[in-house]
Order: sequence, then C-alpha cells, then structure tokens
Amino acid sequence: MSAHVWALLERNEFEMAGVVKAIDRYRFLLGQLVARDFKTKYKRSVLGVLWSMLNPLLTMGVQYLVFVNLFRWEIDNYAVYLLIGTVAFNFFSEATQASLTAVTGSASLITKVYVPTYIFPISKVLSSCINLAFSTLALYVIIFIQGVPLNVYHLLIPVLYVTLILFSMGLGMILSSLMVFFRDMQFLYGIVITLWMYLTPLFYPVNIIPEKLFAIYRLNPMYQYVTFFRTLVLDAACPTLEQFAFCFGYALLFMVLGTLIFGKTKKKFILYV
Amino acid sequence: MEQIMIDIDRATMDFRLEHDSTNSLKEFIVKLLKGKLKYDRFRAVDNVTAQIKKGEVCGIIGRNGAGKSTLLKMIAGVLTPTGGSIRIHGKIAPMLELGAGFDQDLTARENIYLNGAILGYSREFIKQRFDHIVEFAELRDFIEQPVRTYSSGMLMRLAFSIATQVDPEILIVDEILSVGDSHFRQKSEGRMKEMMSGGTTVLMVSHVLGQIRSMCDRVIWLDHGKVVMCGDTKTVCDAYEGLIDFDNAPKFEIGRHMEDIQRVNMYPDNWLPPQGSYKIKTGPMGLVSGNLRCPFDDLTGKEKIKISLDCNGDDDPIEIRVCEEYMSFEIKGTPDTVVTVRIDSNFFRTPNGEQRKLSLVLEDTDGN
Repeated sequence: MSAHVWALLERNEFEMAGVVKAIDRYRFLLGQLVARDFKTKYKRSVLGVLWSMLNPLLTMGVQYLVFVNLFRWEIDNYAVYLLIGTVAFNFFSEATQASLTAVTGSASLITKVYVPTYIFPISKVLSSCINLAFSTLALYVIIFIQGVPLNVYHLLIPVLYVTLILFSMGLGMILSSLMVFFRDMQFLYGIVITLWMYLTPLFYPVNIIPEKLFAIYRLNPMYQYVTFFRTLVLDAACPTLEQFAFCFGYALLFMVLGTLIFGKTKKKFILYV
Repeated sequence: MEQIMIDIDRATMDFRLEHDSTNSLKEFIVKLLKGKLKYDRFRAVDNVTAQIKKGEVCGIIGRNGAGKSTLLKMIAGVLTPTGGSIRIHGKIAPMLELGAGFDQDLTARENIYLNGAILGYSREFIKQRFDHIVEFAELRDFIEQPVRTYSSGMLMRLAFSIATQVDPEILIVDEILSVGDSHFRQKSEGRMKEMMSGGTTVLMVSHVLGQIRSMCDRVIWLDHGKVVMCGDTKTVCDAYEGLIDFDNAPKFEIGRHMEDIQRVNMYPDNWLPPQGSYKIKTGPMGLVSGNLRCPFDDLTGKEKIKISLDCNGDDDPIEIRVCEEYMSFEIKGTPDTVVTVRIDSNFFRTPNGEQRKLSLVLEDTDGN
C-alpha cells in the first residue's frame, strides 16, 4: 500500500472503527431495521416467509428449464452448478441494490433524528443475508435431490459467505453514498448489474471464455466468489491460495474504499437527501 | 460557576440553495467542465453563541425562517454546523419530530420497538415501559393493528407516548407541547411540564408567546439566523412583540475616554484598538460583554495571551472564557452605570514567536 493510504489509515479516515462502533452500539436498532425489512416484505402476501425459500427455487427452476433445453452445456450436476451461481449472485445483486437506496430511502429518518448513517447500508446488507440463508437451504435441497456427495470443504462456506458479505457491504456503502449526490446511479446500476451478471459464469461454463480474455475475466470479484463456492461443493477440493487471496482481498479492498467514501461524505447527506 | 449543559460557540449553518444543486452525473460533469460548480449559499444560522446552564428553561423565538429549527437540529446532532461548534454535556432527548421511522405496515407493538430503537432506547427499557406507553397513548385495543389503519391523532398519541418515556438531562422541544384532542392535550402538557421540572435543562421553540412567558427563564430572539437579543424573558418578549421602541431605547456606549463616548447600536463588530481603558455604560440589566479577538484564523498560542481586565466600581468577578480565536468576558454591574474596562496588553505570541495584535469587540448584549 502506498504511503498515502497508510497516512489515511493512521488518521483513521477509513472509519472502520466507526462501522464497528455503529454496529455494536446500535445493535438493537440494526436488529429492528432488519426485522422491519423482513416483516414488511412479506406482510401482505399469502405465503409470507415461504417466499424466501420458494423464490430462489422457482428462479432456479426457470433457469434450469431454459438453459438445459436451450444450451445443453456439458456440465456435471448442472442444477447445482446453476444454483450456486444464482445464490451467490442474487445475494450480491440484492444486497447492493438495496444498499443503493439505503440512505436516500431513509431521508425521513436522517432529517429528523440522529442515527449513525452507517446503520442504513449495513442493515440492508444484513436483510439480504436472511434471504441468503434461505436460498442456501434451497441449495442444499437440490444438492440432496441431485445426489451430490457432501464433503468436508462445505465447512469453508461460512468463510466464503463472510468475505462475500463484506465485499457487498463495501460496494453497498460506495453506492449508497454516490446515490445521495447522483440519483442517476439507480438507473445506471441496473444496467451495470445486468452486465455484471453476464460477465459472471452463472449458467455457462468458464471454458467458453477465450483464453486471451481470461486474464481480465478472472478479475471479476463475483467470478472469484462463485468459483470458490463451486470448488468447495462440486470439486470437493480446497480452493487454491490464490482463490483465498482474491476473496479476502476484494472484501478488504471494498470495505476500505466503502468506509472511506461513506465516511467522507456522510456529513453532507442531510443536505442532499 | 453553574454547569453549562449546551455550549453553542459561533455556530453557523450554511445551506446550498436548491436551484443550484446538481443531482445528476451529466449535469455535474457539464458544470464541472464549464467551471460553473459554484453554489449560492443560504446562511440559516449565523454566528450564534449561547450557553444554556443546568436547570435553565430557555426559549427561542423568532419569525418563520429565523433559523430556530435549524439551531435545534444542530443541537440534536441531526445537522452538523458548517462553522463553529456545539457541545452537549449530558443525556439529551430531542423531541423535534415525533414518530420518526414509523412503518405504516407494522403494528403499533412493532412500531414501539422500532421507534424506540431509533430514539436510542434499549430492548430492556422498552419492554419495561411497554405497558406504560400503551396506557398513556390509550391504544390498548388497537395495539396489534398496523398503524396505517390509525387516525393521525392516534399516531401522534403513540409517538408522543414513546418519546416522553425518558427523563433526560437536556430536553429539546420544537412546538410539540400538545397533541390530540383536548383531553389528551391536557395530559400531554402535564407530561411535558413534568419532564421540564426537576432540574431538567430545556431548550424550547414556540410561537405561542404566552407559553414562553410562563415557562422560560431566559429567551433568545433569532432573526435571519442571528441573535437579535438574548436575556430575561420579559424584556426579550416585550421587545419581540414591539412593546419596546428600539429607536428610543437606551443605546450602549463605548469610548476610550468619557469625553468621546461613542454611540453604538445593537450589533457587534466594532473594532477598536485594544490597549488602554474603556468606559462602557451598562445596559438596563447591567450587563456588558466583550470579545478580545485576533484578526487571524490560525491563532494557536492562546495560552500565551497576557491580558488582564480590570473593572472598577464592581465587586462581581469578571467571567473570562477562552475560545480558539478569542477571549470573551462578561461584566455584571449595576444597571445604567459606567464601568471601566482596562486591558493591559494587546499583543500575544504565537508558538513560533511572532507577535500579533488583538482587537477588542464590545457588545451590548445583556446576558448573551
């Protein structure tokens, strides 16, 4: 890291401490905000919480039907291959899109009472974690139906999830902060996330990517997280050191960037929301 | 010396005016390229200095748009001052807007927990006070209903009931002394008075001057973000209501010698050469305050300032407060008499040995 970054770190401008403090001191409020998101999401639907399970299953079902019949990739355990990508990417896309409007959507709160603003993107990411838990359950249902054997490396899934969550949280903070100043972000990001989805091997095999482009292709954080996940479940192998480095590196990098940008701009939020 | 609970030191709040805000990336880039990224500023609160002491009930009055609510929001921590500072010493309960964060789809029970969490209550505290909240709001029968089915009066009752569960050291109130029908209004006013009594420090904004007159010990009058007047309730309220004719009111007088006493008006910023003796005529409340100011922003050698103030004909000690760039003092004397302020040195040294000159600003503010 450059000397400049260290100088920033020393002056505590990344506000990592601020994030930890906000989480710790306002744990109850965070819990309440997550509970609110969860309760209001299904409040007026008949099936209620069941949708959290049904959604990833049904989405996967549709994708499975489409891709198995249309494309016929040569992939073993295609259903599980597909669902792993869907679970990871859906979490990422849901968490970041919810974070995007986390601050602007809480305008009525921010302008009325003092609440540490970090709470808002964090609570959105945590809300998405609930869905991640449910869709993971759905994933295991499919794993059993498909008869993919369990292995000891499944124990590394929590590690993968933590890095994925931190990565999403970091990006979410950047997005929620940018959104305050440029409302165009919400339209722009919708396109970015679609493009991002196609750049991540969710339903196609990685080997269709031309070798020349692969050096760039693999820099996609979501490629790294999805591949890590598949290494654990489908290859039943321990990911390489490089894979670990990528997953942890992206989580750290985005948390640092996220807290830096969010911390620098949060005082101005109230003037723009 | 009494304990200061709220210390407002030259607090200033600038807003960018709406028509200049850049809300889209394209607009931003276009303006950036054209070099037109300039903003018109609107100064909602302008250089306000005030101290609220422990147990004091202080009112803020002023016309709409005078900066009252902005000031309260800064004190509550919602807004960060763009200049100056505000320090709070004690547990503060801002009652600026009730029912922040109520979710229409949640039941009253769920909203009590949510709103309570937003106000900073703990889960245990809410659990313990839950029955009391419901009882006070008189909503026992509807507690499991989503609040979107509530009338606005019911919502206000619920919000008021949640917000008034604490007994804070400092209470910030913005025009919410009473909500609901006449029965509940009486009840809520009673609760407010209960919260204000017993040594609570209160800062309240109200347009009902009767309320201010009956409850406040001291009143600050704001206009266009500036303090017009600050002092005892009767004087300021009378002045506000136009009962005092300003043109014929006694002006405070400043001068180097008695012979050439200058007349100054209500606003500060009279820059004078500071060394020497000054004769100052006290106002109707016998108060004179002044600032010794350094005309530089980077004053860091405050501990090196060597100044003594001497005030004749008065037994009360002079209160001197050292801020970052200036020292302020307050002299209490008998009303409408002349006191002498003597300043021994008008130089101080910065840490790197430079000599710098001080200026003296004397203000008429009675009690500010």
